[in-house]
Amino acid sequence: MSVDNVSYYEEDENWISRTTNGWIAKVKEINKKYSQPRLKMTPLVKAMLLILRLYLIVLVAILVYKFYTVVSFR
Amino acid sequence: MEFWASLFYKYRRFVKWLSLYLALAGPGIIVMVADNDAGGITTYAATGAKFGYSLIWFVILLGPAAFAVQEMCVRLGVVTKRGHAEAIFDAFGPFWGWFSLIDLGFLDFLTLISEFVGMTAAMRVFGVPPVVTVICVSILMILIVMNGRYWTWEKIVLLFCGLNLIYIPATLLLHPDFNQIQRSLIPYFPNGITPNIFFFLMANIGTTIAPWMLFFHQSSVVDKGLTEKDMPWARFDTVIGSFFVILVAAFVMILTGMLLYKPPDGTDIENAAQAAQVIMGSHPLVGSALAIGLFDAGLLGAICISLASSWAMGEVFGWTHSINNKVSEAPLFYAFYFVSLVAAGTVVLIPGAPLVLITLFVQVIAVTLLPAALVFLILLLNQEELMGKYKNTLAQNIIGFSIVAMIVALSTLYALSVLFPEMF
Repeated sequence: MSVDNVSYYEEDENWISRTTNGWIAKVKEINKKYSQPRLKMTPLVKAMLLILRLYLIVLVAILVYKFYTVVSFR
Repeated sequence: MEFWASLFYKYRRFVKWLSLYLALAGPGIIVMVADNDAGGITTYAATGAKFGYSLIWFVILLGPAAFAVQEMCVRLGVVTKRGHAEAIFDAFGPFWGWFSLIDLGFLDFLTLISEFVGMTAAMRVFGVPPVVTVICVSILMILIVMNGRYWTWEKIVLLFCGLNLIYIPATLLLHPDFNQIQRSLIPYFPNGITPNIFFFLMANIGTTIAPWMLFFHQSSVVDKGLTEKDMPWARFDTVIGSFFVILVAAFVMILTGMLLYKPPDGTDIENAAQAAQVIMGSHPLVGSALAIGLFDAGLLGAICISLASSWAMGEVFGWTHSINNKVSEAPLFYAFYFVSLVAAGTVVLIPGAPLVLITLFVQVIAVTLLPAALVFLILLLNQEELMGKYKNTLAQNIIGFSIVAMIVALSTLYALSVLFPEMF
């Protein structure tokens, strides 16, 4: 491998790591910005969010089961 | 001259009212008409071919339900001046925020693919190869947003909304029996509630209220810059949109009901393009109108869906995200729009791509986002500190919760019926 090729490779690697780090930093910034939910957590809100979580867990379980049956059938 | 002057004087209030409405009209009509996307037209065409006029009454009932949901988005957007994605992050924190954003991005991308499937199928009826359709549509969609003015974008899209009404003259050409249609408006289920009819009811609900609509409508209200004093107009705009969405749906059902329905079991069609192809043999003009309408529906859906994702990403990541900005002023917002558009178009062109599976998968993924987005909407609308005098009233909450419960239950059952067809 020539010296030029090595430097291009390193540049590419730097660009990828810079971009990845940039995105990670942005996500952290967003998480920090919204870390305190503005919604008042009344019992109704808590109950609704709990029901929503349970609903999604059941739905994901059904999707995983379907995926498993499709894969094992094949 | 005097005649026109006196006419103007006589109707000056109406003219003033109309010009004000035309200035403020847009988001409500666009979101509702775009709701009749390629998947929607296919669902209505299949329902008409299978059950004739029997289920038109059910689709009419969905109009007020769609209005109730979208009206809440208008209120939230006008009062908070924030899009739906940003509002969820702000009110519910990063967990629900990321869940909604990632789910929306994934779902919108799959739906965008299904719009391209619809558009390519529609143009194939006229012998246009898919690759030409995808390239032309992508260029057209890029040109529409690149002018850097929300107003221009909105008026161009409203023209495409007008083209969506093509089903009305196409149906009228067939001289439908309006007495028979009127009789079918009394709610009843032909042969009772069978698993088959239940599947179609669920499909119609699933296509009338989609998650991207909440995000798109709220963001477009914000981008248009509507304020609290414009609220009555924005509501009226949504009423007009709900009327058109149901009108088009009903006419598609009448059209396929007249030409494809064969009693007692009806006809099974796979998509609207197939229906257009069949109709083309006996009624070339009507078949062409159905194909043009399908293409237009796919185009409208694609425009709104790709913008819904781009607005949502822009809101959360803090990019400049207005159609009022030029490409150089909002590069990441437009880049996301272009990339998602080109990627979805490319998927359609891949030989052997599982397009039918993707179209079915859209329905399943939608039910992971729709309940969450609707619940968040109702909870946000009940926050007095956020909404002030525009907070939901008791009556609005009762209506809202009932609609949300019905939509969540039926769309979940629909997704289950897609996953496990033997269940129903």
